[in-house]
Amino acid sequence: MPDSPIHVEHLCKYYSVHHKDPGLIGSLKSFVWRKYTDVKAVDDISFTIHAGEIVGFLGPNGAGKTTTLKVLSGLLYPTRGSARVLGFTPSERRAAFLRQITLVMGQKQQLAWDLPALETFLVNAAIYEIPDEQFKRTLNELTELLDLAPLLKKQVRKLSLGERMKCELAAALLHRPQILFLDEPTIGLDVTMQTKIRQFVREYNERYGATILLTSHYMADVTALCQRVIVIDHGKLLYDGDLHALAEKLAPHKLIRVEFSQAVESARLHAYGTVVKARAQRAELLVPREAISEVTAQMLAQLPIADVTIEEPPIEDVITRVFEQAARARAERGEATEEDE
Amino acid sequence: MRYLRLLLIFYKNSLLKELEYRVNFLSNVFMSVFWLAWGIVGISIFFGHRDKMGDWTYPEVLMVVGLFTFFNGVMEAFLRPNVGAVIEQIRDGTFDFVLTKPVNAQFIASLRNIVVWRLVDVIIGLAVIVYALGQLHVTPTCWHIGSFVVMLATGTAMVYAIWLLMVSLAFWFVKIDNITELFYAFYEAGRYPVTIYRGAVRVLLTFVVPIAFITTFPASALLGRLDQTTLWIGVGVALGLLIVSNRFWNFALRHYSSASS
Amino acid sequence: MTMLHKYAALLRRAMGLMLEYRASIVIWMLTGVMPLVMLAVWFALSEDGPIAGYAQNDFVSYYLLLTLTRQLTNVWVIWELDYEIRHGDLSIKLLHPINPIHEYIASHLADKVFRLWVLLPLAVLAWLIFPTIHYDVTPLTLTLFLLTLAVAWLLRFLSQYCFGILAFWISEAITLNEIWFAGMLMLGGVVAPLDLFPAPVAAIANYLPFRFMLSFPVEIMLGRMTPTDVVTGLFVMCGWLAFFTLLYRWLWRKGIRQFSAFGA
Repeated sequence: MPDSPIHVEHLCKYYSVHHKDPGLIGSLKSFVWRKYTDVKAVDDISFTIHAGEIVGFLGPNGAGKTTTLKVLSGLLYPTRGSARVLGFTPSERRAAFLRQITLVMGQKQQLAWDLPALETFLVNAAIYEIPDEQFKRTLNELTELLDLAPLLKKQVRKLSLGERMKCELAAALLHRPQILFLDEPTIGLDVTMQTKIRQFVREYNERYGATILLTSHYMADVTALCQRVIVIDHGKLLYDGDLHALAEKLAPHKLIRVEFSQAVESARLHAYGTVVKARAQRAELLVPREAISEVTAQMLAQLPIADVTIEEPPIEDVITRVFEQAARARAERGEATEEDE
Repeated sequence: MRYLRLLLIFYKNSLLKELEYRVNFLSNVFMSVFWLAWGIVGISIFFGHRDKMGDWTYPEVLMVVGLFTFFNGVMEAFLRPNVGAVIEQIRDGTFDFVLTKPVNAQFIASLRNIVVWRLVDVIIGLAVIVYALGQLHVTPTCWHIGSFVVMLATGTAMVYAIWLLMVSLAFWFVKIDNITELFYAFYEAGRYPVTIYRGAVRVLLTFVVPIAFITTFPASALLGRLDQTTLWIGVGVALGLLIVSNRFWNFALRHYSSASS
Repeated sequence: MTMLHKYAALLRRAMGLMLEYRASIVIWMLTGVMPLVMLAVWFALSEDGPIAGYAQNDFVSYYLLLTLTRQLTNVWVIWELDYEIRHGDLSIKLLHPINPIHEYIASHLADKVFRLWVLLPLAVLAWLIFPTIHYDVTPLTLTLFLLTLAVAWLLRFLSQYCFGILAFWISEAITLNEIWFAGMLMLGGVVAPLDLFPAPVAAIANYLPFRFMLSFPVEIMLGRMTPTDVVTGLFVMCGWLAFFTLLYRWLWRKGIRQFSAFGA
């Protein structure tokens, strides 16, 4: 599509790292002569993201998610392949490009530590050339969305982690970027704050139609916000598509939870599906999707059921299975590394 | 015996750390040579206009410069890396790890780190001393060498004691590392024979920051000019300082362990 | 919105930060006392007569002004730059549509303002304690002094920044900068006024950048140079300024390229 804001083609990012043997001999050797090996952080990834989408990047640590975001925001340039954002080549880092994007890294902060957040907001307003009127308006909106009023005049170092994260988000969004790259935005935050941040991201997307790329460890971030996920592992793209379609493909079962009005022997349950858990008056079973209505009807007719719910298996399990499959594939190709063990 | 083995392990680790940084090695050697040159340039400029510095001739002053470099090497190799390390550990709370080890805390704090390349200073300083002695056609007698070693030892002991006192203060005043810079500034003045200074400055450099005991007096000893009184005062003061500083260190430690959570 | 507007914003924040750190700044000012140590040395050495035309009160005049100059041209950007490069914090600055150097400059300017507050009363005090110090004070020399002082700071900043940029490639940029700093101590007029050096050495030192990073402004106020010397000096100074500006830009471009290859 000609006006997709983000377009990545056969992106590769390799690093050279030098290894050292331990001990005194190793140190003396590496003093004189260094050995380098290539690490493939991102290995031939392609995808296109359309305006207004919220896309989740999933993958274990070191998978290449953060590297991809850094390439898209211009911090890294590709070893091979191309990335285009809003028609720009990110690594050229043109001012016009930088004014339309933002990258929020959960672990790093741009707010001056010893001053109130408002001071850094004012600096950003000048750097991004935001007219006064617009700055005031945006600040008000962000204050409302994020509950910033009591925080703005306090020294940043006196804020809690969650409060700091909210201010960081505000600082990153003052210039109303069209593209948001969020790298682990909820890391280290408590559950309430995580929910608040997720709500904020959703509202921001609805209000301004911003395109958002999100990486996270927490499945809850992704399930709450993203229709579409891109799964990356060991630098390779394993899956790109609808989150629930992935679940359906890989987890052909649904989970039935039942509560009985009187005790039922677990032996009887094996007829209906795979028993995951069985207590006197509760049970959980896995049943193939196609058979779910049939099996449920049978159970309701033949067992003394007080309550029943039908659930998707946890997405975490689905994703874990994706990685396990990928690891197996790598082992077959003989590329197993220490992490696979 | 255990402490000796520990010492060797400390030094091996420091060496390993330094081998990681090749540019640092070359830089360090350069800086050693530079600071020696600093001293020599300073006095050469002076001797370009005059014949004597006080009652010291050029080779004699050169020996003081050599001694300073020699001693500076010892300081930079053994003492200074630990000063910074301990103060930082106190500041970010990791000093507790030192205290929980079954080894004397003062030992670890004093000797943990060694900057191996600084030993270059020790070598070139020694070379300058030997050269200067050669120029003077002086062969020191056993007694002279003996009193030289004693003066050097007392000087080292004094500086160590003062360092220990300063670091002990770090338990209360965490921002102390900048005050240590002041100490080094005075210490700088010892590059040249203390006898050139007059009055208050001379007293300062002899007793408050005992730089005279490190460079000027050992040099006098080698040249056979040191008088007995100075020698014995030095030994007395050094012993006194060592005891006082050790007491204060232990006091500071007790205060620290009871205060920190 | 011009660059001026952005600088105003950066300066405003930098001043705020400086007020927070004011106690630390005073303590850091203590580390610039080397010229005073050398003053003690040369003062003692010139007790029984002038050395190369510098009498005791000449040394006092020279070194007091040198101390002031040293404080006002003080630069520390390499520690911040090296840290931010090696810990990847520079990424945050690179996401903003403004060159990171401006934020560093702003924080250095704010620091100078603060130091001035501390130094001016001290300078007056020194003038009272040492009534024999003397300078060649005319509107022209004062203007030149301020001009060369500003350029001295710029030279120190740019050259140290260039060393800082090396952190994109090596982990020991700070150590290399120490060598550069050592050069400034030796040949920038700290170990001794450049006039005292043997003629051939002084001749070379007069054209090296170190002189213009520290002692040139002082030489102007001491009034011992001929007009030709001053003009030549100004030309050489401008030459070095141009050199370091170009070097900085070239290195920065290469450095960013390297950073984008490696990231953090």
